[in-house]
Amino acid sequence: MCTEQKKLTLVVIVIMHFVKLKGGDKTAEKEKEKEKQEKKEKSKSAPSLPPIVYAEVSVQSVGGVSLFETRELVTSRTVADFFSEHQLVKSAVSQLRKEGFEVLQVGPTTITIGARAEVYERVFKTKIVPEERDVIKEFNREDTATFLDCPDTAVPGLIDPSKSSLADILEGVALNEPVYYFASPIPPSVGYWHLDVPDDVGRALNVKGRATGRNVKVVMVDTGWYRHPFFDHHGFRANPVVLGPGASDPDHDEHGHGTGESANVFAAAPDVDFTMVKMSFVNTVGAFNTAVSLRPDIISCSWGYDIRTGPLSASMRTLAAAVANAVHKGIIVIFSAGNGHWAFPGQHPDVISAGGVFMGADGSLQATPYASGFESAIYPGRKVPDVCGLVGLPPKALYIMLPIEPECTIDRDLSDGTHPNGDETAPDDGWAAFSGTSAAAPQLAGVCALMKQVWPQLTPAKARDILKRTARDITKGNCSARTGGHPAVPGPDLATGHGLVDASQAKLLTLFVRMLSALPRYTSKLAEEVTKEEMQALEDMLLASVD
Amino acid sequence: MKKFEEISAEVILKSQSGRSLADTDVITAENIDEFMPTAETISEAKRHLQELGFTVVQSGVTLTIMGKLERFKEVFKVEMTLEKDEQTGNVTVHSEGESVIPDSLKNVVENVVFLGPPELF
Repeated sequence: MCTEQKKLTLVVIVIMHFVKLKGGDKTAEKEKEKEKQEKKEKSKSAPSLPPIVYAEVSVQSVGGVSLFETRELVTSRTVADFFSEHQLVKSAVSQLRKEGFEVLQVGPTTITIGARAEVYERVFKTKIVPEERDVIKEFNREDTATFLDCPDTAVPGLIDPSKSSLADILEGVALNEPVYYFASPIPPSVGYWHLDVPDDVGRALNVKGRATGRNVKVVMVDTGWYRHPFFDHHGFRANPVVLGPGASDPDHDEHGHGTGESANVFAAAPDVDFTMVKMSFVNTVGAFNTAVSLRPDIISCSWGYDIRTGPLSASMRTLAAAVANAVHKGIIVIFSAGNGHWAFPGQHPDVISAGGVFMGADGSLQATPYASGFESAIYPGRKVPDVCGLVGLPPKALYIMLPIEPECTIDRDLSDGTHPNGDETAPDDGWAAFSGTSAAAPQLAGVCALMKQVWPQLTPAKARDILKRTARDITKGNCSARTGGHPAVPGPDLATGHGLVDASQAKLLTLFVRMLSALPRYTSKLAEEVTKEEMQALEDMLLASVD
Repeated sequence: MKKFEEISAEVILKSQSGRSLADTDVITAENIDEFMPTAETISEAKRHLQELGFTVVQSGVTLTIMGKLERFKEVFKVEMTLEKDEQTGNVTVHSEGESVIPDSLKNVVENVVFLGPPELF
């Protein structure tokens, strides 16, 4: 078969696939409509128990008075009286697990657990009853919410453990109540050039088409995740936060970094199956392995260590082993290349290393001196980054307006001063402009999710290869002076690697490679021979055929 | 430090191949199998560590354990100090010298290491 015939065959195959996708989308729309209808019907009926009930368990307090019976106010002065003996806490955790509860967090005063209502009813020999009560939600919206109660105690939401096998250890179990979040879902207006999520970032990454990341599992390991109204407003969904070793308080992101940067994932892949692993900063390996244990398709990490030369310390080798093991299992792992750092694991040979490109108000693209670019002295021949996401300019890269927990560290820290030294937002509004290669990594994760949706068997090595081959070459600007200030030139370079990721082209090439892999008589070599111009021509033909 | 605030460490286990993480910097998806412990090693290490008063919270190529500072000092004969960042609340563990692996763990454990806090990019 001559090359022209091969290309024609490819076009036919791809058109057939697109037509199939189009049909598939109609089915998805019908299902969505059905889901909506069911939800509507459900809201009219009596309150029901949630699938998982969360609660705070209080172990016998050292002060001898129960947290639920004290007449004293629980303040910083008195809180030590409500701590519990270490052995007792350990024993409670073990018994709760044995009884079928998931232990989500062990805090100084309580243990956070989750289980189906039946588990609570069996263990504590009680009944959990849902009640619909009037509440005021965000923006003074009057509504109702489901509260859980246990009718055999006087204190609302309290379970008495005295009839259970844990009677000697526990003093009470408090059922969690619904929480509402009060930050605005709309970003504040500021007078300097910046990008908003999801639209500006999505456009700059050339996100278009039907893939949305549906059913692709992305896990971020970061400072936590706060359910900011921005996410609900855009229909972005996230699973409950999973705590890494030593981390606590799954409902809060006291720093803000994890919440903000996660919006970059959704900017590229709005329907992704997202989970945050909150790390405690005392053990990044444990947190990373917690992410691996969730069996995701993609792990995105916007952190690292500044390591210019080897040999690696023993602890860094455990991190290298954790990363290698994840990639060995087929997980696509993305790490930031660093902001002037010699980032590790950003330079590990198995990761997709995320660098930075700045898009100006006129749409021009350049390497940003805020992001790292270097050749690794630890791994011979390893060039960092592989490809780039969107990152701002020095001094602080205050560039992408991101949602964060109101009054968190970032909200407070960046509010001081005018741009480019401050982000000109309030210290308590739940919004801040920031970026760094921390933003680039989740943007790449979102693009990988689109590729993975198109081809679930996509391997980490192939994903990196496709991102590189379809990236937009950057020929202006320099990377961070701290890592050599390398210039961006035509073709791959140390400033931006292969350039700014192009979601649409990456998705299209993934589709080609998938088609080729399904046809034994073709080899992936053929896909490598297709040039960008040829792909564009094929894409135009495809779009024309489905319109 | 609060009375049951715990610290965390990574336990490097002996690999099936006999190859050690200390041998090379280049630990990748291609050669990671050479550093893998057997299921028996993992389970024996978990049992001994639990007997020594640690909680095994995560298992990958290495084991993540948690326990009280005093317990770590006592078991691994290592001098340690904690530094708390008042702004972030993060606790950094500084250890001096090599950990001494107790006899009960020597057949299965190669080393115990503590990680510093990462930088957010």
